[in-house]
Amino acid sequence: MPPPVAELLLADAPDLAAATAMLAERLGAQPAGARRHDRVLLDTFDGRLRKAGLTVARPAGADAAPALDDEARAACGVRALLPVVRVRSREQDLVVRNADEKVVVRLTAEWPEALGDDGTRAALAPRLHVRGVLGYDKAYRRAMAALDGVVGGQAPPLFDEAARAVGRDPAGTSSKVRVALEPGSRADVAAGVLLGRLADIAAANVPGTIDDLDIEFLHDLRVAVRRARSVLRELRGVLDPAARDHVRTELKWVQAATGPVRDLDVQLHDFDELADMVPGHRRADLAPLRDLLHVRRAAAVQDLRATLRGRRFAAALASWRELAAAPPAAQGDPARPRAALPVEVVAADRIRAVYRRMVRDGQAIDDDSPDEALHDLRKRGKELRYLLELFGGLFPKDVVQPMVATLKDLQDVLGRFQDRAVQAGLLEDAGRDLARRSSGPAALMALGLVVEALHSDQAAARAAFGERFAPFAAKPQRRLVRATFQALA
Amino acid sequence: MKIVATYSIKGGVGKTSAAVNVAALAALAGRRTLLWDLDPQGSASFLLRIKPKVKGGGRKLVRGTRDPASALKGTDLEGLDLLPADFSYRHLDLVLDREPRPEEGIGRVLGALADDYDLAIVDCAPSISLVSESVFAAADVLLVPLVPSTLSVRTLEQLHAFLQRQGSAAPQILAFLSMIDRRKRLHRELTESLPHTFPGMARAGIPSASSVELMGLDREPVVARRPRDRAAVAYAELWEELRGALDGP
Repeated sequence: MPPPVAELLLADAPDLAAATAMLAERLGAQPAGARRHDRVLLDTFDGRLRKAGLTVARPAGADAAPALDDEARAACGVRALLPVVRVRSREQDLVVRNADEKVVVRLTAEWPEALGDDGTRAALAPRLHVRGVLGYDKAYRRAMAALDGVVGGQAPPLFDEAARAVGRDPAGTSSKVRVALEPGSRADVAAGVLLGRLADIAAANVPGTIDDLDIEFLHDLRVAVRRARSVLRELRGVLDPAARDHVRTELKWVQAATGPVRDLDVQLHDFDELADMVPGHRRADLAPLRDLLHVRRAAAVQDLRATLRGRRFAAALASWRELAAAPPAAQGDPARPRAALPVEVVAADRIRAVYRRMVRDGQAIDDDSPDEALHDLRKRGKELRYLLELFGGLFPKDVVQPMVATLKDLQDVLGRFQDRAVQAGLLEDAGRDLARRSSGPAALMALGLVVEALHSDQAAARAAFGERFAPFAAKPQRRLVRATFQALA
Repeated sequence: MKIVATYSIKGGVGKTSAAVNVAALAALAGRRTLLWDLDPQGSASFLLRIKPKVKGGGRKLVRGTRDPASALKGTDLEGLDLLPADFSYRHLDLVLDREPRPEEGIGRVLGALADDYDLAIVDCAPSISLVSESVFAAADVLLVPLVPSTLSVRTLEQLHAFLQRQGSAAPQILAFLSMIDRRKRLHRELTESLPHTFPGMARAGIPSASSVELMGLDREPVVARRPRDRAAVAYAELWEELRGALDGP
């Protein structure tokens, strides 16, 4: 059990000297050192450390990333730590000693201020950190009792207070859609809300993608684009056809232009997993391949930056937002026959249709079917997943949840099938480059082993298709879908 | 968690001072450090201002009926905790003797704390007994203080021979000269020659210094209170060599 700690507000003390005097009087605490503490509090773009209850800081002026413990590293995952707010404090340490002059309670009075990027300073609530010493819980409890009513209650987390003081959201920026659609609301209005939120998510991830801070920015940008494309594709007859077609074309272009970097990100992220596919003594031979992938990625990132800074991307984002903010359809608009229908009615029709199509196509797949049949089924699976993610809240949970679960199981296998094919293709292509290098032969041999292993894993995924498809397309499941999601005439 | 034991067959040779100062240096270097004062005299506990008392005594610890974590005390140095001495440790030999595998007794107690610490330093009582054998079985490194005399060299040879009988599980020995008085010729000669003649002999040696004696009054490691003192510098050199032995090249 770690020793107890508390962070209390030093509400009434006018300054550090007065707080020190008060603590000396109340607790017999002795000053033990004073310092200025100037640091930058860090978190990932989406606030993973805060969510995990962790705080990480680096000294102000230091560029190097701080050393992270296992817990913080696990919380961050692939995300980079970014500066959130600089906090400068004056701190006074004090200790409470027992009759043997042994330290039994440690205290730190802190006067913090947040510094904005523009140099503005905002005073934060002064606070008192009380830290127990292992095995001296009674002394800690006595100190806390003596402080009761003298200092304030629990201080708000310094990270949150400091982030807000400089105008940042301490929770970070979420790329989750989190739009609660109201049953009965018009389909065109609901589509506008969803498209608007998705455009916000995409835009929020552009700077981090351009700066190449971590691979999730691009991933989240692409997911937002894909979801928006899904909304556009599925909600036919809801939005203005010309504007819808234009945005669809532009988002398809964005998706294609951002694809190469994402493919290389996946390749490099999974590199160790791929390397494990070859015998230990051959792994080192793969180093030139990794180097080559990095070189290719660097070039692809340059192109991606040019794309995202270019006029066409800005215009695409603008038309996307414009479509999201477009006024509802006029009554009886023949080009938008579904615009005024309740959103759940339109969504039910699409969920039913995509599910039925998946069942039909999946049932037609046998051992002789071409790979494309599975690729196409996966694409429809993504469609269905997005529909359920975006509109699932409008339908009974007990229907949607098992549907999502069986779909996820199926998509895992289809995804593995597709990813292995893409990976093998990329590696075979890289092999042609490697062949021209001096380190090429050894790397090529190791590469051959990886590609072979990928093909065999792809075959295993294909073999598992049947057992994953069966529960997804089972009769009771089909009946449930028919009963829940009504088709439109 | 690595385990280091400070061990000497006789008392008064600077064993506890080394244990306390090396443990303090390890904590200052950022290692989560535990010091177990296994000597019933409780000198290490005294030097850290902690009462030499463990509820239930050594018997409950060794038999596993008391969680050692509940007996721990934080020292004045953050990052260094103490499992205090207890007068009952004087009977620990008898307790271990009644256990099914006495040689595993000390390792079992430390094993329960292995996730919470990077390094445990065990300050053994000066003797050769079942307790010390159990410590040898658990330890990665034995830190052995030697006063500069010919008899000490003989003791070290005996310890080597004893541990060789343990085979590959035997801990590594890192011996060091302690209480060196550079006014004495023999001390100077042994300080020069021993590191070259004995494998596992540290180059660092701890001088006989009033600052080390004053630790009894200060009740604080000399490396924390007087970090520039020559004894503190010598302990720092010893810690560096120990760190090398623990972490490998």
